[in-house]
Amino acid sequence: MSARILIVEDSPSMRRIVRTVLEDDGYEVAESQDGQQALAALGHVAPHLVITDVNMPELDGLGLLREIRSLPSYRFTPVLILTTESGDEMKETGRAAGATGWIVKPFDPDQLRRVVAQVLGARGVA
Amino acid sequence: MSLDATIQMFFEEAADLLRDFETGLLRLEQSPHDPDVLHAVFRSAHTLKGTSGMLGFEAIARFTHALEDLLARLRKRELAATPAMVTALLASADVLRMLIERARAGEAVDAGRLDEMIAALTAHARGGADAPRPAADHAVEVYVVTFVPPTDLLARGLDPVRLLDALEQLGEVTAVTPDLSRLPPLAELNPETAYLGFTCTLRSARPRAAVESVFEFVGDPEAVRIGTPEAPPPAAAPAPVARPESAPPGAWSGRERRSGLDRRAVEPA
Repeated sequence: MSARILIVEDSPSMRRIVRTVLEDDGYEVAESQDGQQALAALGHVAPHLVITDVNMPELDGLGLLREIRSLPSYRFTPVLILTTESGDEMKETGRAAGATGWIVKPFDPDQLRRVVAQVLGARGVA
Repeated sequence: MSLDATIQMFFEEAADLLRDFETGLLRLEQSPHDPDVLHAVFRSAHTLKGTSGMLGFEAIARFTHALEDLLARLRKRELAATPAMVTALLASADVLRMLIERARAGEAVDAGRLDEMIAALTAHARGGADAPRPAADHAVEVYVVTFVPPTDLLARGLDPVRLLDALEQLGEVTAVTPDLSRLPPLAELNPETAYLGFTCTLRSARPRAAVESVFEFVGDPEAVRIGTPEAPPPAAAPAPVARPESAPPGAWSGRERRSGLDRRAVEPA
């Protein structure tokens, strides 16, 4: 059984790229285009990992992260934030909101793979 | 959104990045040690490497990767930006322009020529006199790693067991000693707080930076100490024992938790 990953990102081409990279590695990928959609999707996707962009309409990435952390079933689910900011301030803000880690955009596919494998652990993919 | 539109966007962005790259290099000629200029030039190459790689433009990705390696070493002051090096970098901007044009026209690039140009950049990157070991794999090292988790580790979706898994991907973890010193009495124990640290020995051919990157999201540089058997990190555990098969009392097992999540009833959001 492969790990399920929910990608939350308002850019369709970015969603497509992330899906392609992660499906290649055997993960199951579901997509949401903003934070509200993602919250609604949690129930039927039941992801093992959420990857979310920071800047999105409706509910942004940090808002989504806080909502996720307040849900009993998702308190310990890894959540990675995708951000264009590489500075310490974003990392601190993300960490304070409960982010597991971050990926700075634009990113290498290999880096995405590495970070996903790292947060999901050796058993991420069946 | 079609792939064509994505690719179109890539070429528009590539033109901008190339322009930024060249502008940055010209400034670098004037101020070879300016960290902001080096950073900007590095970022252009890095971004182009990322997007070209994502869309399968091999030649551009390989070339910008070699550029990035050289620029990274310049940024870290492992190399000095000599006039010869800046000239080579300016020449590489021309190469990059050619590679982008070829990619846009759907024309192949001579593989031999590309290899030569990459080799030239790599030679510059290796040229530092006081260079530390290259980033490629080298002889097996023995690291002693001590980890003390920040208490919010679990609340952020991290897991000491997965950190050990990640270390095992780098080589051979030969001894793990749990650090129970922060465990409170059972009645006071909060299962959502991370108390357990560990010390382990790792035999690995990977450089120290790879070991450090396992802990990149921990968020506290003091949480991880990496030493050697001869110079162990401070507060190393006493004589190591074999890695226990079952988790110590009170510990989270990543595998157990994951299978628990799989079995749980799906709850409404």
